[in-house]
Amino acid sequence: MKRGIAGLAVGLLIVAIAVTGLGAPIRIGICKIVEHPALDANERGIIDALTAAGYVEGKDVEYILASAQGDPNNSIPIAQNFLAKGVTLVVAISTPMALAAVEVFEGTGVPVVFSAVTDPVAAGLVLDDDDSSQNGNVTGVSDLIDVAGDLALLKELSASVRRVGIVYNPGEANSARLTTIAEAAGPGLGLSVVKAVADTSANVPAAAQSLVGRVDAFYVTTDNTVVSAIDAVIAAAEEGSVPFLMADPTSLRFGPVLATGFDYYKHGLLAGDIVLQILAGKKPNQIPVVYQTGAEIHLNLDAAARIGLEFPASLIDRATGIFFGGASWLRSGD
Amino acid sequence: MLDVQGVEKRFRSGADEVLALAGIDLHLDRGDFLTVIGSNGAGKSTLLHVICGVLLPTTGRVRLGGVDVTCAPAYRRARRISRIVQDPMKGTAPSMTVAENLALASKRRGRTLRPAISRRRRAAFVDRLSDLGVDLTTRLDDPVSTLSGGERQALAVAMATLSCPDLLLLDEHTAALDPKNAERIVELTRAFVEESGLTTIMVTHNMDQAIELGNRLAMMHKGQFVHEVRDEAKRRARVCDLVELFSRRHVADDELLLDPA
Amino acid sequence: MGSILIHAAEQGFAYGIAALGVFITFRILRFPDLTVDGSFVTGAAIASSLLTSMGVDPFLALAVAFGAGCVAGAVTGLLHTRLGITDLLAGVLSMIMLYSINLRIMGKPNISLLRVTTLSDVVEKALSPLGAVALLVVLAGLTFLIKLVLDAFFRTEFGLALRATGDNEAMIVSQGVNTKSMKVFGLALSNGLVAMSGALVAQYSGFADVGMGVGTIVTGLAAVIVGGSLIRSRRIGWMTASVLVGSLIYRVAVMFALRYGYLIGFQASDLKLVTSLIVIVALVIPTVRERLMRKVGSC
Ligand SMILES: Nc1ncnc2c1ncn2[C@@H]1O[C@H](COP(=O)(O)OP(=O)(O)OP(=O)(O)O)[C@@H](O)[C@H]1O
Ligand SMILES: [Mg+2]
Repeated sequence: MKRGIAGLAVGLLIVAIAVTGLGAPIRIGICKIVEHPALDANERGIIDALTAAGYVEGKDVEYILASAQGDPNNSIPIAQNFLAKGVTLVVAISTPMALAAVEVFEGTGVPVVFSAVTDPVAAGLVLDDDDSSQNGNVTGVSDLIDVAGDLALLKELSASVRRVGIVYNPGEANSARLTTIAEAAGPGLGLSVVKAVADTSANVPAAAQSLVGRVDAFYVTTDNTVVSAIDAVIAAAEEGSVPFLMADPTSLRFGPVLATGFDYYKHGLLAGDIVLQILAGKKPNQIPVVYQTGAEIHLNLDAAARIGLEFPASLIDRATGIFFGGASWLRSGD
Repeated sequence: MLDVQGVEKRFRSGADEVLALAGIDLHLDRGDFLTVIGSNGAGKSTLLHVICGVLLPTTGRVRLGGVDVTCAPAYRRARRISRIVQDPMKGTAPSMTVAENLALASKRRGRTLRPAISRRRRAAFVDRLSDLGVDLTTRLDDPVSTLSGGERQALAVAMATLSCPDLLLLDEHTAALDPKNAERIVELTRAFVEESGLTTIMVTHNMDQAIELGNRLAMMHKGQFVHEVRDEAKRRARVCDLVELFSRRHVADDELLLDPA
Repeated sequence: MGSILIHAAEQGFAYGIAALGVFITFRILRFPDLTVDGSFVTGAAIASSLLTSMGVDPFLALAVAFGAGCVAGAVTGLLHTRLGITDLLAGVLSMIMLYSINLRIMGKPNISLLRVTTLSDVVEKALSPLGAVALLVVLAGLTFLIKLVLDAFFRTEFGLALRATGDNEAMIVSQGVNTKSMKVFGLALSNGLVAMSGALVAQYSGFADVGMGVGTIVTGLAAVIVGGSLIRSRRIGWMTASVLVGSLIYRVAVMFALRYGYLIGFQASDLKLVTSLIVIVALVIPTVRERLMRKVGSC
C-alpha cells in the first residue's frame, strides 16, 4: 500500500516534469513605463514578431504584461513580480523600466531585452553598443532618432532657415539627450538652436510663444510632455509663419508641416527579433544593441499651405505619408 | 513693574477704522492685583494682547520691569508673562497629555533635548497640582481633550503659575464655566496670587469678583480707563456703585449721540 | 510568494522613512507640505550623483541627502514664516524650484546606479549569511532606529514644543515658544527624512529618476492615514509605528495588485485602481469592525 502511494507520487512527479518540460509555455514578462500609443504599438510589435515566428500565445508562450502607469516607483515591484513568477525573459520598454529590470534580474541568468531606450550606454544599461561581449545579460533596441537628419530636412525645406527653436522638457531623459545632440549638430549645418523649456504640459504654450519671432523653424523631438500639448507649438509656428518639424508621425494630422520618426510597431518587431534570437539559443552578450534606422518622412500639405510654404519635389518623393485635404494618404513604398 | 504709556490701538484703516485703545496709561507696582471691568468691546482683551505682545500698539510704549518690550515678540515676553484666556479650548494643547502640557509650561526658555518628563518632574507636577488643590493627579497621562472645561481651566491656572512669571494676565478666565467651577477657579487664582504676591491683571464681567479680588479696580470704556479705585476706596466699593458708574457712562454716550452739535 | 512579501516589506520600510517625514508635517505640525514631491528626488539625486561621481560610502550618501532635504524644507518654512506665503503655496513653490535644482544636481533626468556600489550591494555582501532577508533586516533596522530616535525626540522638551506648535499655536506662543522657528525646524526635519528615503529608494532601485517624486505626498499620506486608522493611539510611539505599518500595507497592496490582480480580472492598466482598492479595504476594515461590534452589542 505504502509502496503504491510512493510509486504513484513518483509517477505524478515524472508526469509533472514532462509537462513543464515539454508542454508548458515559456513565460515572457513585458513591462512599460506608461500607457502611450507609441509604447503600446511597441508592445504589440514584440508579440506579433513572436507570433509570426510560430510562438502561439497560450500554447508556446505566455505573456505577462505590466505597466508602471507613469510612476517610476512601480518599476522595481513590477520587475520583482516578474522574477517571482519565474519568467524566462524580460522585455522592458523605456529607460526607467529597463534599469529596474536589470537591477532586479542581475545575477539570475534571465535575459533582459530593452526597447524604446534612447541611449542605452548613457543610461548605464550596457557598456558598449557595438562590442556586446561585456554587456552581460542585457541587450535591446534603441530609438535614438536621427537628429542631424531632421535638421538637414529643415534646411532642405527652406534654405533660409538659420535659427531652429526647440521646445523640450529637460526632465525627460530622451528629450534632454536629443536636444543636446541637436545643439551639437546645428553648427555643422549652418543652424543655431534656440531652446525653450517646458517642465509640464501646462507650460508648453508659454515656452512655444517665447520663441515666436526668434526662430525660423520649430523642432520637437520625442518629448512626451511637449507632444501632449502639441497644439500650442503648432499655433506658435503658424503665428510666426515658420515650418515646424516634429519627430512623431502620429501627430501629423494636428498640424506640423513635417513629421519624421520611427514606426514604433516596427520598433517592437526589432525587439521581437532579438527575443527570437535569444530563444533560439543566442546569449544577449552576443547580440549588439540595435539602432533603428529608416525614419519615415510625413508631410502635411494643409499646414504648409497655411504658412504659404511649398515642399520641394525631392521631399515629396521621399515621403511615406502625406496629409492633404484633411486626410492622410499613405504612399505605397517599401 | 508694568508701565503702559499712551497706548493706542487701531484696527483697520479708513472709513471702518476701529479705535480699540484710545490712549491708555497704566502703571502697576510689583504685587499689584488689578481687576478690570467694562462693557463688551471696551478694549479689555486688546489691552492684554498689547501687553503680552500678541498685538503691537499703533502708538505708545509698553515697559516691563523697566525694559521697553513694545516690539518684543510674544514668545519672548512669555518668559515673564503668563496668560489665561477665556476659552478653555485655547489655553492648552488638546491632543497632548496633562503632564506634557505641564512640562511645556514649566520651562519657557532654553528648551533642550533632555526628556521633558522625568520622574522627578512628574513628582513635581503632582505636588504642584495637589498644592493648588487641582484634582488631576490621577489623570496626568490623559490627553487634555478628554478633560472637562473646568478641569482644563484648572490646568491652565497650574500651567500659568508653574514657571513663576512676573506678571499674570487673566482674560475672563472663568467666563466659560458653570458657577460652581467658576467659583473654584477664582478661589484657586486668589489663593495663588495672594500667596505668591504675583503682579496680576484680571479682566472680568463679574462685579462681585472685581470688587472682592485684588487691591485695584479699573473700569474701561471705549478704549480708555474711565474710573479707578484702589486700596481703601476699593474695599469700600460696592456693586451698586459700579452699576451706577456704568449706566452713567452709557447715558453720557447717548447724550453725545443725541446732541448734534 | 515569500520573496514577493520580502520585497514588499523592503519597500515598505524604505518608503516608510518618507512617510514618517510626511507624518511630521501633516500630523504633528498640521502643515500641508508639498515640498516632499521635490525633496524625495533631491535625496535620490544627491545620493546617486555622489555614488557615481565620487564613489562615496552609500551610508554617507544617505546622511548627505538628509542634510540637503533639511535645507529644502527650511526654505519652505522660511517662505512661509518670514515672507508670509501661505503654507500650501510655499510648499508648491519649493517643489517647483526643486524640479530644476534636481535636474541640475543630476545633470540628466535619469542616473543609473547599476555599476556602482550601492547600499544594497554593501549589505548583501556584508550580511551574506542572512541570504534573501539581509537587505530587509538592514532596511527594517534603519527605519526602526529612525522611528525610535523620533519617538525619543518628540518626548524631549524641544520635541514637545514642536508637537504643541501644531496642536495649539496660540497657546504655545504664550509658553515662550518661537513657533516660526519651530515650523522651519519641523519642515526641515520632515524633508530631511523624505530626502533620505529618496536616497535609499534610488540605491534600492538601481537608479534615480527626476520623475520619481511625483506622488510622494499621496503615498506618504496614504501610509499615515491607513496606519492611523488601524492603530488608533495618541501615544507618539504608536503613532510612528502606525505610519510604518501603513507604509508596509501600501507597498504590499502594490505588490498584490501586480501579482494577483489578474486573478480577479484586472489587467496591467488597472494597477493604480487595484492598489487604491486594496488601500480602501484596509481603511474600511476598522470602521466595519466597529459597526459589527455595535450591532452585536445592541442585540
Ligand atoms: N482683530 C481685530 N480686528 C478688528 N477689530 C477688532 C479686532 N480685535 C478687536 N477688535 C475691536 O476692538 C474693540 C475692542 O475689542 P476687545 O476684544 O478688546 O473688547 P473687550 O473689552 O475684550 O470685549 P469683551 O468684553 O466682549 O471681551 C471691539 O470693537 C472689537 O470689535
Ligand atoms: Mg474680551
